[in-house]
Amino acid sequence: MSNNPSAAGGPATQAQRSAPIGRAAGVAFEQVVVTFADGTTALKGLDLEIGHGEFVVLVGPSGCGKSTALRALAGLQTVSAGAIRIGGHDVTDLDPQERDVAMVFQNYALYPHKNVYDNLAYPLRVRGASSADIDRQVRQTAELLALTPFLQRKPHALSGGQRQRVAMGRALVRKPSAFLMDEPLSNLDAALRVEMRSEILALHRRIGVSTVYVTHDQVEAMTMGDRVAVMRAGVLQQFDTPKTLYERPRNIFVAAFIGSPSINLAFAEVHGGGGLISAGQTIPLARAGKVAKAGQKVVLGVRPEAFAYEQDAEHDIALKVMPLHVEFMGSEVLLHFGLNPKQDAEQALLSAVTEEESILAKVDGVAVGKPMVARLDTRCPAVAGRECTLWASSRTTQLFDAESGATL
Amino acid sequence: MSSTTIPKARRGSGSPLNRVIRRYGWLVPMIPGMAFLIAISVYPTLYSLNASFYRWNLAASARRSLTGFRNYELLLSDPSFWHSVVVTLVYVAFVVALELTIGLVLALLFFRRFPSDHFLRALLILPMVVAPVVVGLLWRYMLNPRFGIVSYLMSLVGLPRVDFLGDPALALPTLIVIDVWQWTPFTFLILLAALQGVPEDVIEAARIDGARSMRILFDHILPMIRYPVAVALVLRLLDAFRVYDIIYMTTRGGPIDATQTLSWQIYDLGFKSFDIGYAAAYSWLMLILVVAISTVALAILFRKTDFA
Amino acid sequence: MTEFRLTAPRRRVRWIRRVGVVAQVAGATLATLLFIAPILWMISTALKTGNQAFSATPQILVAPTFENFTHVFTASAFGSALTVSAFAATVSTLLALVIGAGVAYPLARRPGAVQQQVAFWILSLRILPPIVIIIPLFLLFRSVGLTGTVWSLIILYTFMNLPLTIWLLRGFFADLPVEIEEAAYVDGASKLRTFLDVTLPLTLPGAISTGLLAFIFAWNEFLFANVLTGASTRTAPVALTEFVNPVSIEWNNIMSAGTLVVLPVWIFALAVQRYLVRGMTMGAVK
Repeated sequence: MSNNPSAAGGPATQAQRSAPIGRAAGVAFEQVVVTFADGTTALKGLDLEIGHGEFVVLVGPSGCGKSTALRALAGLQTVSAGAIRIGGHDVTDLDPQERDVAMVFQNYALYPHKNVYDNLAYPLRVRGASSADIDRQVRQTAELLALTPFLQRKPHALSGGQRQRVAMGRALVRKPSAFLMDEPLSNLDAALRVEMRSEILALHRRIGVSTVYVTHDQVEAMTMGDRVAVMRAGVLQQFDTPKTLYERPRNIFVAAFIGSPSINLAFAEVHGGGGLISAGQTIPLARAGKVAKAGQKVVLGVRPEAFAYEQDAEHDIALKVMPLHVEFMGSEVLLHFGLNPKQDAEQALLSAVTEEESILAKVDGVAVGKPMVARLDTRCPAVAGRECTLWASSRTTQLFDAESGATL
Repeated sequence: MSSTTIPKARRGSGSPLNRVIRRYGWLVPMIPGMAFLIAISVYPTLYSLNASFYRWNLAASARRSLTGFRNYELLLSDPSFWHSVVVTLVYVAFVVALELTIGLVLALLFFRRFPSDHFLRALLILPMVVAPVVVGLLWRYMLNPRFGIVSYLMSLVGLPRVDFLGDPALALPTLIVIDVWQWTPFTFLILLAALQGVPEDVIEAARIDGARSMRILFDHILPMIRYPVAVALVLRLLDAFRVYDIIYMTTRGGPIDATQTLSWQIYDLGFKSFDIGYAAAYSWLMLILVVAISTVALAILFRKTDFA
Repeated sequence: MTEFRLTAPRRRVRWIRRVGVVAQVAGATLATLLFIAPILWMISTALKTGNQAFSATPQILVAPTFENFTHVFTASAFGSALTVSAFAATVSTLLALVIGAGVAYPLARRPGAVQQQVAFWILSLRILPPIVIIIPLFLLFRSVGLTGTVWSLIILYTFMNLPLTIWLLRGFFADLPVEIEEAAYVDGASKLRTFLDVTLPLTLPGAISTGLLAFIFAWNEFLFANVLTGASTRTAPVALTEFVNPVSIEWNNIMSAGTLVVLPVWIFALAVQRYLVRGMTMGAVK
């Protein structure tokens, strides 16, 4: 399964967009290394190429280097090695002032002593645009973001959502080559976040500037990005469309990071005759014999939504499980279960309750062997404490090497 | 979007020169300040050190002769040197001790809010910012045995009128009182800020445990404000060593030599007798003394392990 | 095992508390009065006539007269001394602010081991007793002909206040979130422009307070002023000593001159009292 970040499997939505403004500008990281003064390396040779007008999301756990990468793009962080290109120009040695990017900061970083109009006008003023041009541009941008009634107000008199829009406006007013966003929605409440997500995407569709969006929320990443770059500890894990990330994760980390509730993982051993043995039961996964050797230790991965309680064309693998706990969610049922039917129900429940990650084995930093979850139809007859059978799909079941975590 | 002309960002050169500027350019604004500080602190100090090795009197002759450590030897065997050391140490010790104690009491008094506390606090800071010369003159006036208000009040309660500043036995204590008057508000402010920084929940936990107020004070509060106390102590220590203006306006080292501090002696030698070499040696011994004492004070205060 | 009483009598506690507050206010007021009294006395004496000031039975309340103030300005040319003081203090404060900002800003924005050392060294300058450096500086200034002018004083006061301005301004710069400046960079503003457009306006209150504090120290200073200025360029504290002559000490005039020296400082101190502690402890205590 190859993962070529620069493959032009391009954004499917590009065709729907109106003609983008301005200069042809993609953004590229070329073997970028960022080491801090205290010796920590935040980025270890990042290679990433973002197409013109693409909306790319950088996502990963905290400390993964996504914000560092963004700041390096903006020029706020010096690069120890490698190059950064914007619109084809090598900008690695350029100051932020010279890079023609715009940035929306996590805390908005509005100028507290200027009103909304002056906040929006500042980028233009600094570049020496005429007052007439400034006025026209500012008013247009304000109109676009529904900020016109607030032009005379100062940031402290605005609500969180309004401030966020001013921050976006300040970035938009210039029509930059690239648009950078550092977790712009993380300070908003949940409802506002959802609303702003679609607003940002609508704006992007309209304006068509290459956008790099950083977030730690994988849901945000999946719903917004044309392509998503998953990062961990300074290393790019995978850079693909959300669909590819979901269906064909490159390694166990990506598989576990994407999707909520996260993928179920269990140790297994490849059976001589093609199939797996896990937790005492044989799983007839034909693929196992083809991608791994007999006796090899692997990790089995099944997403909660990949289960069904009845066999059908799609769900062809039977698993005997011991249900621990049934959560009725209204539209579906969340079934918590253990893969080992012979395991004492109580003991399994205890380990589920304490959730002691440290006692669980880890593969490539991901805990394996946690109690599993399945999302099932409400008609599922499973009852806690009574062994039952769940059906998984051989097509969507993942296999990872138990040593490296790489997908097999 | 309409076609407004927005000037493009200027593209600088990514030349090696740019890289150097980027790396060290931030140093440039610091140069004037640092140069200035170094020039005016290092130069005179070294000059002074150098001068202390010479027999050099401006009044006697412009020539000076190298005498090595002779000045220091002379000083250390000079009784008036030791006398001024004693005077200075006594002054500093009492002044700091009194100001910290009274300042603490005041801080405890002001600790819990009460009506008009801000107003009173604003008034309390006033003694600190009065020019020391004014302080000296003012107290000299007030302590005058004939028409000073202090003597008058004393006479009202039957006490004799005393010449505080003219009595060799009373002069130094009087100066101490004056200093306490001027600078207790300083320690008060610091300690008040420190007390207000003590987390409430620790005090409450102690109270629930049954501790009485005095106990809480000594067991919990004082240890927790150790750092600001140290700051106040060292600062007052350093400032008390330097005291000069007040002495100039009140006793001028007298009566006899009752208030002859190190600072006073040095000034006398340098600007009255123009004995520069000797004065320089004096200054350096004083500097060593000051550094030694502040180091010891800090060490004592931070002897036990600090807690967050 | 001792018995613990779990409930204290309610009514008595409330009464104690009320008495406590009254006692607190009384105590605080008394203490404040004790500290303020000498200053009030000074002002009162400034408004008295010569005879009243020298009376063996001083009166507290007297019909005020401003003759001392007029005398001080006309006969003793105290006004020129005040002007010199104002000039020296203002110029040295402005210099200390500008030069200090140049040091403080990099220290604030670029944390590092070197910066720590530098900051520590600047702090340690406080230990240096002025006496140690005054003789060499006097000789130096004399050799370049600066003694007797205000400029030697200005140089010295700038030096004296630099650690203060550096330390305080550093704190104020550091308090400003760096993102706001970064936003300006990305918007295209050069470092200098950002400093003028963004940093300065937002740290202005702190800078002003720092300036007022520095002004107070320069204004009150005596030792250097006494040594380095001449008859026509003396500052106010030095001029005060002129009232003390062997013949007679004109206390009423002294008190009014003293009041004039103290008054501006008071106004400034009240304006910056929020930052007074921070300033006087060089930022060690906020």
